Amino acid sequence: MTSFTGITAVANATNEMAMFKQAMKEVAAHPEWMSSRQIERQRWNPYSMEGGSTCAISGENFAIVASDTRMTQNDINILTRDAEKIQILNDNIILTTSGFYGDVLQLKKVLQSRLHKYRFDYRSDMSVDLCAELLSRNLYYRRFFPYYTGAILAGIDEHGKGAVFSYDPIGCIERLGYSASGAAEPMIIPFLDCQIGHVTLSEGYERPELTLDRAISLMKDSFRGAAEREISTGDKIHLVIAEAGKPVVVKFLPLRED
Amino acid sequence: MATADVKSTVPHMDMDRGGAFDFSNCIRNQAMCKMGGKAPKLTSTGTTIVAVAFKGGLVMGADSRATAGNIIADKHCEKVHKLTESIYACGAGTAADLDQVTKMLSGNLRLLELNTGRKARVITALRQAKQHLFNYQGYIGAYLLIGGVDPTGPHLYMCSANGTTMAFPFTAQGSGSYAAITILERDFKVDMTKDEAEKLVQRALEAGMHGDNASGNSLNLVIIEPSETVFKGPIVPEFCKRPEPNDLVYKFQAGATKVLKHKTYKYDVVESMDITH
Amino acid sequence: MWGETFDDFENDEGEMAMAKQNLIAEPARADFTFAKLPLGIQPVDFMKTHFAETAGKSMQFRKGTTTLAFVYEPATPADKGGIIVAVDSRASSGEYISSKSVMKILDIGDRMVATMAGGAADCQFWTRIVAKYCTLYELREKTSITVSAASKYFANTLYGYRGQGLSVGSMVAGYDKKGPQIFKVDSEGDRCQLKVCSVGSGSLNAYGILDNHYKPKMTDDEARKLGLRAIMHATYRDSGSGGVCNLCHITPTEKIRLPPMDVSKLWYEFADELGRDITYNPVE
Repeated sequence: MTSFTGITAVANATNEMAMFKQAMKEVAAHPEWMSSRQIERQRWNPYSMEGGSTCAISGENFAIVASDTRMTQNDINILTRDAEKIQILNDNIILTTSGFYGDVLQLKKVLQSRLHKYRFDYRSDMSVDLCAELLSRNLYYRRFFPYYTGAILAGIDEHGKGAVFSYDPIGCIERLGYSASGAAEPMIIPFLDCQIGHVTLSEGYERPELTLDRAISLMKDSFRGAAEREISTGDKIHLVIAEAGKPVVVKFLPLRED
Repeated sequence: MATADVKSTVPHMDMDRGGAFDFSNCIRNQAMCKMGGKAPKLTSTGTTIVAVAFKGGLVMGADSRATAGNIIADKHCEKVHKLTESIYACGAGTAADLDQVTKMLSGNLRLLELNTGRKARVITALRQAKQHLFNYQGYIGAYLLIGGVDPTGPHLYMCSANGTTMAFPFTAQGSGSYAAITILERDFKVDMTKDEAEKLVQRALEAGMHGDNASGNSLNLVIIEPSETVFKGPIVPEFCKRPEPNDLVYKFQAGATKVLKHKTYKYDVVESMDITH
Repeated sequence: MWGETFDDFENDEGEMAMAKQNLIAEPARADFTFAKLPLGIQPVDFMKTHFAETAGKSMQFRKGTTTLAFVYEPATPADKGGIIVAVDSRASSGEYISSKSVMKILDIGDRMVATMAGGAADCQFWTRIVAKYCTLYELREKTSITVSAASKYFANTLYGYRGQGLSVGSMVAGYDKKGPQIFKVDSEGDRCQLKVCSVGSGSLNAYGILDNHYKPKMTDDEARKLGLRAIMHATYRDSGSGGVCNLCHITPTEKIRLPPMDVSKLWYEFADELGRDITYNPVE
């Protein structure tokens, strides 16, 4: 029964085998362990990775942003325990970035100067929706030499609602209820999917309302969980709370330091 | 024809040492990686291990974190391996290699003790380790601190994966060794008391666990003296504890998960057994 | 800046000044260039080194999709006919699902949409550029642009960056004076008009369903269901696709966006319809 489909499958397999043999030949002629040092030298690497994780949650009338404050070199070495990865751009816009710290700072500078110019030109603060679009475009302008960052922009939008925008390194933008980026993203997101997205709950089952207190608790717990199992996350939680019509609150909370 | 070409260009390694490593898949695996396959990650004990000699004895210690990439794979892993009653080895590097090497060493040393009727010497353990590791040219990723007390006194040696060995009065190894060695360099004195040495090792380990991402969770100590060997641990330093407990309780009531369909199967009970004790 | 001379390269201060200016003010399109790598570093190689599988999960660009669109004629006078555009909503960075709720049907005009497959950022950015072109065209020419012209502008723009590593596979679908039309456009410079079309990693699965069940004349319900079914089956067998199914129906008079449908729920619905058992059956 399988033999009919088998004809093309055999042809594909033969082709793949030929490719595989070619690859074997190439590898045998230049084994990687012989040339790894040469390759390393030839590769131009303007980036480094300073680890750490960031996360943002938005609710009806608030947005909270958190990151850890550890800065790491080569995944192992701790450079500082007080690195700030969250930038409060104005009362309604908070930027949080993980990745290459040089680009984190550059991105902050670009947005700050843009916002400054906007205040000059329009005599008002930029709204988070506009800033989100601006960030997306500025990330894309570096399409062929990208910022090595995973950015999240959060804040209070024009209607007084919480907003979170998530980005990939070249500016793919999406507005979400919650987002995380950095080393512990794959650990934090499933937790929030369960607790905020309620993706595992059956219909008709009670779903707790996402209040500010609950969001803050979930945020703290997700970082505590990440610090348990992710080596480049730890030291302190840098927590920024933006509530509609209230000034931005900044808090630091302890995390395990090992 | 193609296969003949491959054979002629594959560098052949003579590893014919009875049950030694088989390198025949190396080229194949690299070719697979080249075609888009992914190699599995090895668990490595990115580690802090420390050992210090004191008057008449030796203190060795290690943290207990094992990592796979940047995930903590084991929070309570045992890195202080017993070789004989008074010889211990701390390991850094690939977890599986360390287990195998220390298992082999302890077996060989026990056989030696039984054959000769004397306690094995530390230098014997070292020589066995270095010859084994040198044979494999660094492909066994075991970096060992071998230390112990024998009739000639306390000894401490380092043995790296390629077979290099050195003797030390105090030393640290692993990714956290930079932080740990600073403490040792500052505070080590010749002929310390047992208590002093123990405290020093603990402080050095804590420095390593604090300053290095791949070390942490808890520490284990072994204090070896001619008369007795004491094992201490796991000790959890203050900064390795959770500063705050979780805010919320995460429990799901029955019925939280959607049941799509119920189906009951009837089995004939042929044989049963009591599992309540 | 588009036609660069050697002088521009020599004049380093000019380059720097331009770069600085671009940071402070939003660059105007006409004299805009993307930030460049140093001379001698190829963008494609550079991306491969730093943003491919070897890079961290979070540093990979978002990708992966099943998108489809087809044109059909109304089977009865009560139906509207037109174009069905259906897409999944997954964005993956390598093997990690970085989003399960991406909107992959992007508006170009009142009567035109573009779908998004390949690099998510590439599609979002360039669709915006096309949308802007179309709006300006409409204002200038006092008539709405044809799908053909919009897709041609899209394809030409992408062709200008050919070989630099852009990854776009888009379908420009819409109604214009010539009727319902779908153009497939990609970053290799390809542009072709099709009646039934699917793009993305799950397109083979989607084509399987489409080719089996597509009829030139269908009722609206049939057509919408066909779109859903094709997306559902594609998400079921392709790891790069998943999430919800977004569906857009472009009729001669309006553009209707249907609410997102969870594909796993759809699977149960379709299994129900076929009378297929969804539970595991141990061998008797």
